[in-house]
Amino acid sequence: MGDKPLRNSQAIEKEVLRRMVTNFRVQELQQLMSMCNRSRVGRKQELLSRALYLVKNINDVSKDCKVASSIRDLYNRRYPSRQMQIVGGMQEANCIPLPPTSESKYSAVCAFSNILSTEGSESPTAVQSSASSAGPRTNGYPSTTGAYSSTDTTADKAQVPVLPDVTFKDLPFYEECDVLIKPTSLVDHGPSRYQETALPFYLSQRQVQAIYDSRTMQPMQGGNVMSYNYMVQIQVRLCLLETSCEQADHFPAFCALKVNGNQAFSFQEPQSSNVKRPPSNPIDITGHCRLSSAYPNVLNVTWAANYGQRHCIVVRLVRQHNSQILLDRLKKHIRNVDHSKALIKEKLSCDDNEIATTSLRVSLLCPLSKARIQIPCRPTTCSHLQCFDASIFLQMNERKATWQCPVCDGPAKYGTLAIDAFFNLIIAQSPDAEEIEVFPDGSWKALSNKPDPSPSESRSSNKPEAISVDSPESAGPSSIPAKEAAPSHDVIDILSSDDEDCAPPPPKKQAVTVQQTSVIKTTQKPPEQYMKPDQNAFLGKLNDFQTLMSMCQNSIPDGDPAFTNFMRELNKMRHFHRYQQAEQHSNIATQQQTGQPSQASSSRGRDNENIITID
Amino acid sequence: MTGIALGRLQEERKAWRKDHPFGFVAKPIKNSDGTLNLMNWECSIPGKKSTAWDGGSYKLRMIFKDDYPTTPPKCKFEPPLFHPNVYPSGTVCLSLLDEEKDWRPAVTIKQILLGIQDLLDTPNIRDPAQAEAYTIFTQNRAEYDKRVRQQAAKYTPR
Repeated sequence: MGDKPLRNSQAIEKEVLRRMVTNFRVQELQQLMSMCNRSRVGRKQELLSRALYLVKNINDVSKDCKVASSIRDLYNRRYPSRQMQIVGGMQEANCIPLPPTSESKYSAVCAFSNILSTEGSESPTAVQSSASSAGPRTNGYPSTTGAYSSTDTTADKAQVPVLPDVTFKDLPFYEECDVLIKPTSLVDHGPSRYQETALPFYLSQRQVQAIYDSRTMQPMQGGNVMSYNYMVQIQVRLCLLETSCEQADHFPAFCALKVNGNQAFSFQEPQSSNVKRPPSNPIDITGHCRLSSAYPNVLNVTWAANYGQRHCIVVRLVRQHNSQILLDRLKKHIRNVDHSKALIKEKLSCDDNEIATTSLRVSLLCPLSKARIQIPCRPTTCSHLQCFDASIFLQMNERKATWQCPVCDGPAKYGTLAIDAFFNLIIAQSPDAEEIEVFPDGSWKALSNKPDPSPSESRSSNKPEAISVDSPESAGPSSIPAKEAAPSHDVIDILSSDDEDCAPPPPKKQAVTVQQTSVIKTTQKPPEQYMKPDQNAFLGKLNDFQTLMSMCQNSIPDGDPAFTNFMRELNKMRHFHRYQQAEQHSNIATQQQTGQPSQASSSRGRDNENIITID
Repeated sequence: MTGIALGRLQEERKAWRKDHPFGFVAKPIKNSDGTLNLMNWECSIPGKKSTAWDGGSYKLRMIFKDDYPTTPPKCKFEPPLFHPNVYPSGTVCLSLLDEEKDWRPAVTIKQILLGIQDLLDTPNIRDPAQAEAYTIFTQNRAEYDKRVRQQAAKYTPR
């Protein structure tokens, strides 16, 4: 008889310890394992079950029990303010491990305290029946009957604003019309892993009309089933509860949305740590909503609670834009010619790394499409001259929004994009060029992608045909007349041509190429380089290196062995260049007098007639 | 969107035909009606000189998806290669070909092929993709080199 209360107190104390352990993060669990000389390896679930096993096997929960004191220590370190609540408010033991109750469905966020109290009273008797039945409060534990329901969860809730001042990152493809549910914290109630809350929202007559007006029928992927497509959408976004800066979309490890009781969306974080978490995207729930101003829609959110991570949710009415609309808007955002000129000047004047550059090569090919840029654009936040095609870039982001600069991998937010007027002019004035050379005064020269028209080089005269055959090859019938017209030597069979139409480059050049491509990804090589294994090509290569240098300097980490190699190569070439320059000088001079274009003479090229000065 | 992928692949094809590294092959396959299927390329990568891979020419298929170049192509050795970073299916495991890692839309087919050529002789032991080559590589380097040489001889073009 006498030891019954004792056993009860043991049970209660064990339950307290058990609850403490379930509140531990991986960090604490690992510490606990080390303290108790157990293996600290394994996933959280494994660690937790090991810890619970330890608690279960405690024989005597006195203060000197090592396991118990370790758990208390760790818990107090983790939650210094909660210490009293957990030890004192033992009564929670019977109300905590609750699945989300049905009541919560009908309650808005603000009614959490009510839910908690109902949970407390209605909950089935929990794990330790002995603990809930007898009068354990008398066994030396401070009884706080008054603060019965003020569990640790309410303490948490007090710290979490129900409607936090969270700013979501702007989504350029969705223009916000109205906010249907303001950013709302997803507050955990109880230590249950899965939490649920219900959020009702109303649509006005105007909003309903706007959604209906934007609706179009679309065949589903199968083909014969039609579905609705809405341009004005009811959109759900989730992000971390963090008010210090703009928040990107972020889902809890698990979350599911129900609209009016029907499953609308679910997300499960991949289990394996190797797989990178997929990017979180906004969720369109328009198709699941009741489009009426007379009845509310109820959004049920279920999520997996995660210690240290809180999320918040927002529901908005948005209008979806396609890339064409964004492009039309972007076209109004033009950067003056002088901006680029100043940038060129700045790039050419700063000669660190003892490289004296007199001109810059810039590709007119878009790094995304590899075709000539139509609408040259560039983020104003980037420091490179190289542009990309605005239309292609927007279309690619419409598919998958990365907003990453294809030239330097830096951020390229829609708001920072601008059309480059300088390159716009160049593209309009050079219908064929794939690469240009710019000089400090803002003048530029097209580097023709066709080789010199000198008859001495038989290969170069063949090349234009080889290219022209290439473009219609996928069009089928149109390639036939081209084949007939050209002599057999020039026409290249699509399937067998690959090894014949290009002579193997000289071994020395090949080595350089391999290195270059493996180091720098944005390399654009002028095609003529393999065709003319002579001085000009060599100088061209040097120029190429210099341009590349300035383009890629920022993206290469210090001490990268490949980069060091590359620098060494560059230096060698520069020495060679200097050595050669003296004798070269006379050659170039004679070439220019006879009117032959010499595209590789970088500094002297300004006298050339190809130069166009923009002013 | 397919438009972007096809347009880009057409430009890749043009660039390749203008100029490509010696010994490499890359060409789109032909459909049964004789047209080109730009989404599926047959390539071949030569082993680097003065490595155990020298002499061999390794056949590789590149499969592009509609959202290329947002996503990298899948590169698969056919037949599968004895190499620590090649899956038993033949698929190449390389950060350059991983959308979440080093893949960038600006990377060209030429750069991919050169990158894979580079990988042949410099396997990444932190990222094994097949047990056989990985174990032999880590446990018996002489045996590994022997196997690679045998493979190179097997895939020497005649």
